[in-house]
Amino acid sequence: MTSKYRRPPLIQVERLTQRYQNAEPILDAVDLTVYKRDFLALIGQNGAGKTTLVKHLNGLLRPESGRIYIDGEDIAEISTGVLAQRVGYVFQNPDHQIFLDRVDKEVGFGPNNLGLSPEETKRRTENALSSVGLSHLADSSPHFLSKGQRQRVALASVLAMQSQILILDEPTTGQDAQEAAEIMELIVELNKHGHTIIFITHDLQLVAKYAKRVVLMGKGKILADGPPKEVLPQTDLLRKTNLVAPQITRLAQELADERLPKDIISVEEFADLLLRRLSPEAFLEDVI
Amino acid sequence: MGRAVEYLAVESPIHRLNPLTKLAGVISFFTLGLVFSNPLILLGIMLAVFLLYFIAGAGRILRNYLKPLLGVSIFILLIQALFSHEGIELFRYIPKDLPVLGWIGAVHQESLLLGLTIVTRMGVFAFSLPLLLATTQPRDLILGLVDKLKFPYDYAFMLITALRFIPTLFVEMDQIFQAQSARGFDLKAQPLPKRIKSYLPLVVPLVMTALKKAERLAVAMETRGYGLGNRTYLRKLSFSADDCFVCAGFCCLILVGVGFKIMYRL
Amino acid sequence: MSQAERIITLKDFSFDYEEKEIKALNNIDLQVEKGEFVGITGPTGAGKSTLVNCINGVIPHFINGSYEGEVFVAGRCVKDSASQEMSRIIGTVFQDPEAQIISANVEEELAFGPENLGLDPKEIMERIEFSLQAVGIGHLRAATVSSLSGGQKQRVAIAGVLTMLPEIIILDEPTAELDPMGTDDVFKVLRELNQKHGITVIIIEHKLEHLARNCSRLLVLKDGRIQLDGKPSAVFTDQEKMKELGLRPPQVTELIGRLVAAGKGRGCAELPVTLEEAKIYLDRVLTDEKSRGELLG
Repeated sequence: MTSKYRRPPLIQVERLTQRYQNAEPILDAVDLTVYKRDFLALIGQNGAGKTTLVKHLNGLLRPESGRIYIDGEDIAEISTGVLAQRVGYVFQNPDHQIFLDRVDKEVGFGPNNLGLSPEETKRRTENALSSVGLSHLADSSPHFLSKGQRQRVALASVLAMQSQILILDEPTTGQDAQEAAEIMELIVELNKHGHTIIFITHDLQLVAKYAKRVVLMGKGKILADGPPKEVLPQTDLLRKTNLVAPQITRLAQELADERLPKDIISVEEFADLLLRRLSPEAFLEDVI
Repeated sequence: MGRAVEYLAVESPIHRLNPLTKLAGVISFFTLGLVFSNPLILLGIMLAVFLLYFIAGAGRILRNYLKPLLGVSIFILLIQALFSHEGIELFRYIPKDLPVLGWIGAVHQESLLLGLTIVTRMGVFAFSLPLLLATTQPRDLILGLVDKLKFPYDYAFMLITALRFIPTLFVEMDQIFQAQSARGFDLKAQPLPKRIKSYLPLVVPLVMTALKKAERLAVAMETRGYGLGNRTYLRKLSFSADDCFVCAGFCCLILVGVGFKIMYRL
Repeated sequence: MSQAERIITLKDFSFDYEEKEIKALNNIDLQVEKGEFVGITGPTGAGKSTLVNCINGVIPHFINGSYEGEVFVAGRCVKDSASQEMSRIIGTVFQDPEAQIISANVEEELAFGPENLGLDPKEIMERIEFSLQAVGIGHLRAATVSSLSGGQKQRVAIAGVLTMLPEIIILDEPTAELDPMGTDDVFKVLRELNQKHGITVIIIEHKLEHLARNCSRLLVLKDGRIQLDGKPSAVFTDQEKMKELGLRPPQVTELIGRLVAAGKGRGCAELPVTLEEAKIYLDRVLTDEKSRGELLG
């Protein structure tokens, strides 16, 4: 993995503060740099400021103070419509978006807004639908699809915008294990193809498995920022922000044996470790 | 705007009044608003309503309403000033002999007075109802209507539940607007003739969401026994001395007002 | 299981929705005893919501379809009882907190159910006191609903159902939209209600870790059938079947399962399914290993 010092910053958030009408700021002088091709998980309890933060990236919210740069450009003067081309945002509830009577028209709405030609829109729609596995439902009415399918339609309609940066708000909530895995695999593919990914979630097992970088927020500030293996084992910090570390991490930390590393975040890793410890070779090593 | 129809939970003498008293108050203001046509008197009534807002601690709600109503008022006055020509000329700003513009060119007394009457009367109507909603809990309003006035419960319930969900739907509307904006949807960029159709991305999701919520709510209600028949109520409303006093006060006001109107042909 | 203890019975029950062709529920035979804490899980479309809707009467009173077989709750035939009648025995909590709270403030909300039942104000007040205390939201009594967090709203919804004094509470993915703290709060309340007040709880969830910890019984549905039915430890130990159904057990169970499969675990009939059980198990395995080393060393 390339060191982040060599990668150019894509998004720079400088001292971002947002208060609305509250006394307490929802975002308190937040600094964050996101690099090209990052795969970043944004975690924190409800009200910590995660959604507020990311909504500044596509202009849905404008800072009270502070600046945001995308590709070196200050986005304060750029409209939401134009930013939509660079920053795609998949909302949690697909029913907040769906309004047309055909899936393909729905997916084509975004590209149309960007002023693309009908041919280009058609091409992008087909690509997007095939990415999410809904090509066979292109002419169906989105209103009659299942919740999981509607979520994919919403995802496809943002994918069709082909924005470099993708923000996903709770992409796997309300889905079963299989569906969640499929969505995450798709996002991994997108990241491999060059997209920068920011996703918000409560599922820390998912974060442990897929994210390459974890940013923990609490009360409007960033409390931790690093690879999953660095952030997730900080169980005390997580507990203070009302989050729960993955079960496997908690288990590793609660076991009496001191020789166990305390930064385990996956079952595979732990299983490997234990099997090696319990194997005859290791046992002989200890003796000899 | 969703906040405007919400109950404001503070303590005030107005909050303590029986909801029916307050309803009578709104009706009284409406009546007085209709009885009088003199803009000065109507303005006085409106200012009296404003005073009640401050007594109720609802200054914030008043402020939320003032701006839009001010806008509409100015619009009405402008129309009256430009296009209605009753009564004597008060002020001419375009010479009379100019072909078309000469006709518009002056503000006339009666027209202006009519404009002021419309605006102040509108103010009386528009400001009195939200005061009721801000100082009365929806359940108390239903209770008052159903218990004392024998309103059918289902209708009262429909009304109050609709009110309870208005803020929720405003929140949904906001989220829908953001979700569509994130797809490049720009309401202002749409050409005027297509404007109505261009609201579809906002309206359809909102209606669908509202319908879904309504359906789920209906199920939730029935699984908690709604519709079983004879309903009872946790709290009973009472009439205090203050209520009698206020009601009597409104009655007097109306009688006096009508009396004055007849006597002095105001 | 004696007749008297059985509170829910489904016999040879099948249902499909009006326009669909595949059976949503296929020959279900199910009996639930009073006081059980039953978790229901399974992939999307398995029939979980359909099943609970058939138990609380939403099907057939609100939703049409072809209804075959019998469903009995507390001795009553669900099909023949009005849903308002069922409301005295079964309460349901849904996923969306907003769409099930009727009133604008908490006390009013809790009064809604008993008012519908036509109870006198003194009794309504007693029930509200009881609910507030049982759910642990006494401090929220005078709050407006719009000021509450998701977790608090769901607890208010549970309290609202509780004032009906039901024997059974059904919950359909109540924590889907909540954060981890909200989720924990909801499960804590349910455990209290089940253990302290003897209420039968039936909950649909995907969060297997929480189900493993709280449920006395777990049902896994797929394709309209009950595929697995037993204690969480029994269900999760059947790793092959779990894989077949596309379910991953709690992480601790998976870990120990791998050890056992490689022949390195202690013998046990059922795998640990909670953190506490896993800790005890592994602490012993590791001390055994350590002491073997010391013996020889």
